Amino acid sequence: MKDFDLIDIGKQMPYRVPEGFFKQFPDRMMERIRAERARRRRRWGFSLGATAVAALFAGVVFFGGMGRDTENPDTLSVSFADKMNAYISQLSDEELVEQFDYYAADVTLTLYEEE
Amino acid sequence: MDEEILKIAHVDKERGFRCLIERYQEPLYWHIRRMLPGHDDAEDVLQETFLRVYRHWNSFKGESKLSTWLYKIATNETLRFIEKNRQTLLSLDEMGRESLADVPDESPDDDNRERLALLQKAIRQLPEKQRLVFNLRYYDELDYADISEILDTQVETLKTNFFYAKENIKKYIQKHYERL
Repeated sequence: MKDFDLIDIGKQMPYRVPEGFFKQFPDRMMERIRAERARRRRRWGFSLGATAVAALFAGVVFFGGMGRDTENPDTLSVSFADKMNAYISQLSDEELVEQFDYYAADVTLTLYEEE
Repeated sequence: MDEEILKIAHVDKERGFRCLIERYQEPLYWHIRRMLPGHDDAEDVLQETFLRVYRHWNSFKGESKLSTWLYKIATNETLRFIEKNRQTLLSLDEMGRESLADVPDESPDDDNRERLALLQKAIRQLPEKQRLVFNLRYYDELDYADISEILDTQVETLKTNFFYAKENIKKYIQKHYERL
């Protein structure tokens, strides 16, 4: 039987890695992170939108015409979409993640965001 | 190096994160690859690892080393992947399609190449915990205190695991090496 020693064998890995893998990986990874961030913003925007719609609906049901523009009674005075977009765009990634985690825990909202 | 990365990330998260990827992609890739047979699987898990790190970046408070935190996430992601794909991974092993045949052309000589491959086979035979401890200690050269944090295991238990891992590897190789 041949002698065996772990030290003689060494620590080299006998696996092949595609050429240039480690050179290209950081770019690919950063690309994926940006995509993930954009996706989270969209999902969070959708969750917030669902909340806004629910709040609006509740307002209309319970308070009747209280939310209506007095000069133009057929339209609602508050543009939720504009306010929401402005609000989302000013949030940092960390705040978005926090907000998203909060809304993700809400079953009634997550029901709508199945992909 | 880690302090530098954290400083950069504090000012510019994206740039800091890129530095972190460049610094840790290779050690983490190999840590994952030693547990998984194929490159594609290892790459998937590596991506998931960095994604998770990015998502939870704010939860890193510097109470442990950055490297320990990263290894812990990589280990958990790898174990999650193994659990999810246990059947497929097993069948790959059984069919002998694991990429041990993928030996680098620049390997020093045929004999050592075969010994390297045999060592990997021996490591694959180990129970999961022994395999992790052996890899982190032997290849990544981490100290027991760090491995203890990564695996949530007491140092004494880790030492025992490492001892048995070496014994099992020796037995396996001595049994198969004579056939080379």
